[in-house]
Amino acid sequence: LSSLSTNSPDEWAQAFPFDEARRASEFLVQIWAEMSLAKPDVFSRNKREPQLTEILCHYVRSFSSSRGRLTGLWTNEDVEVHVDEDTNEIVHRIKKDITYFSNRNNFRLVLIFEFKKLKNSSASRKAYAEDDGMLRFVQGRYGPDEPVVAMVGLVVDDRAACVSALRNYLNETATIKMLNTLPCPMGNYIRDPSATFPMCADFDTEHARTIPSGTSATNVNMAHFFLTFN
Amino acid sequence: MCAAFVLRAIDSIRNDGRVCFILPVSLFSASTSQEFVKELCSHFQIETIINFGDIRKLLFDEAKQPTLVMVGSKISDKKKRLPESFEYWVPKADISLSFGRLALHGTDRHTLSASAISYDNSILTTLFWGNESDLGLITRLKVEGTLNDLFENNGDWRTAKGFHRHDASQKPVSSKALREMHFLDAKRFSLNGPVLDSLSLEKFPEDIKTVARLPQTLLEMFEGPRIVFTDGLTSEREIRAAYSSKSFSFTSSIGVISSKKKHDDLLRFIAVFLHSDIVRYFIVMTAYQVNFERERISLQDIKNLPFINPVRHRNPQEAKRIIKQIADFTREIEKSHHLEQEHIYNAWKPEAERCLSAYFGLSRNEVARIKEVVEYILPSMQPSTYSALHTPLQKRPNQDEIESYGRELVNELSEWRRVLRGKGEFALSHIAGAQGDYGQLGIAHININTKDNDSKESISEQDSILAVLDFLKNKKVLPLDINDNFYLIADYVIRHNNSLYLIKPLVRRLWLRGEAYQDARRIVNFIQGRPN
Repeated sequence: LSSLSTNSPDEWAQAFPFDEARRASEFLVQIWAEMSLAKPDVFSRNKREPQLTEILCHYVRSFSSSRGRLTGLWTNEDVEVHVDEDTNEIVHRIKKDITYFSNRNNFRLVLIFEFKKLKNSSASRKAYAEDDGMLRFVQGRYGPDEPVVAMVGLVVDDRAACVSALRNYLNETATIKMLNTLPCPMGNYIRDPSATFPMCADFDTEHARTIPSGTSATNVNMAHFFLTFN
Repeated sequence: MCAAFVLRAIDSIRNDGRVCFILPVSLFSASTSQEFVKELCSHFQIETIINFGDIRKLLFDEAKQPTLVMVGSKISDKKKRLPESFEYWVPKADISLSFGRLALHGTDRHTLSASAISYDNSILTTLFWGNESDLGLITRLKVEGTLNDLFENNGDWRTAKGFHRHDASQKPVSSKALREMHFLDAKRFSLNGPVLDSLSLEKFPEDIKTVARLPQTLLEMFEGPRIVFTDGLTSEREIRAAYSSKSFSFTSSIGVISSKKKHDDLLRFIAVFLHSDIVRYFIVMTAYQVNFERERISLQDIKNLPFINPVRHRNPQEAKRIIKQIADFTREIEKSHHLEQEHIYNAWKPEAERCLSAYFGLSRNEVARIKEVVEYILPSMQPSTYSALHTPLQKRPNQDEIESYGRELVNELSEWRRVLRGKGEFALSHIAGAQGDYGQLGIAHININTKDNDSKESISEQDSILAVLDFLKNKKVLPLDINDNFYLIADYVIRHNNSLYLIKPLVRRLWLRGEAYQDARRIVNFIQGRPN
């Protein structure tokens, strides 16, 4: 039933403000911090990304309502399929690492967390930014309808060094061109601090999607998180 | 067979074609079905699962097999897919069943992501009687460790079953080594609380001349401090486990956990733990077989119980003190007269529960939740006849229970507000009963930011609420008639200015503390503009 009548300001709405994307992000980071401390053998840098995201999603999901007070759902390895409308053939099939979503009634939220192990190496930075990382968001192969996505670096080496080197790489002209990175009004390509998730992301980047014309291509804002192992 | 039938259906329907299966619950919920569930989720987009496990003894005249219904559609490879979720309905044995109607309450509906059951299908068992708060508590306890962690990480601990009488693949050996010691017959296994009643022990059966095999490692399990247990539960759904250090043998119907003498205190502590409310709560929330099939507990179930190794406890000194306190008491039970032992244990049990709660770091709310599950849900599971439908859960809640629910609802709303960084104070004005054509309903009236003299509802407001209920009844949505004999008894949230009215049937099962958690979430969803 809808409300019979309301006062202004709406005191019930002020009691339960709707801010799920921010809270979901902070909660994921919090659970990673807790569980990697409590179970370092499970959250080990030697484990593969799919193993890590699967177990992280399990814990996030288990505590999501009781501790996170989140009302949406978490999913892991959800498959996204893209079909060529002319040939009706599958162009590509991508498994999303972790997604927080709520698609109930008048409300839709899909927040994709793409995880990448991050070492202090050129190859690792390329993996983070290129085909299997940021680029697939930019090219619309992954989450083409989402205005905001999260890149999560699982930092294997020294955090400060890894993040600093990645920032430098993302600031290189060739990388900016490859990722269609957009500058902020101040002219910076790395938007620091993060305006999207200021409590848990190190910085944001914004990119113009390169989807063929005629589709609902918009810019995509990426918040960049960096999680460490214990 | 069922699994093969389901998988065969993939080839028999078109892309996006819908399927409806009536299946054994075990196919989805048993731990051995995990791979199948994962496979199934990769082929079908599940829309709804209705688990009829609680009414398995009443649903069909003859069949006792717990049943579920799954509705879904074949996943089309070429269709754009949204993240997948499905409805999980868990109707319970309700009084309405005796009138030939199956009622589904709001609290019996959950929404799950497909990936949740692909990863761990035990969530289907947990959310059968439990809620998301129970899921959080169980996960937290298991993060701290399990009994299996204790057994596996220390060579001092061993688990086994007793001797097999026959094994066609082996040449039998003489039972001579066992004839000098006592014998424990699983059928005469008698408990005085957590210690074995020594009168249960008898002479080794003369008719057992040979056994299948008798290695030294097995002989060692018949001596020294240990816990023995059967796979059947007591009538109170307690594990039939007992500590003993006497020498006796037993067959493979009995399992054993043994350790060195230096761990005697810890063994005694574990024996008490196995009889505790925490374990009974855990069994209800996680043991598939206890919930849906024969009430038996396996060694694997016991190994999966949450347990904190005292050396890894956050406060090892305090853990050691609690373990010694409990162990000493079991020694007192052993020293007392055989006829007094049970009485002494029962008188001491509340103190043991307090000690265990402290050991596991349970909050006051968690203890209260565990208690209500043990007190009300456990004795109400799977009634076997229509006359047994009037379970403790089906009775009207008393005033204390209603007030306890109300306090918990306000606490839960406050916790949501705190985590959501909202503002405002809640007050439960009162909970009233309303009797009408719609049956007996309870109406909880909650206010926000009102002074005491503002919170009293006027006569006209009461009349308005009753008028709304009459309107709903006339529109046939109170209850909602889904099908000929299937009703959805929704919980309603009605808002008027700063007042919220939560309306639901006045039966105890819907006014437990655990329900306050669900209802607070329902109210948050309502305020944020989404249905539950």
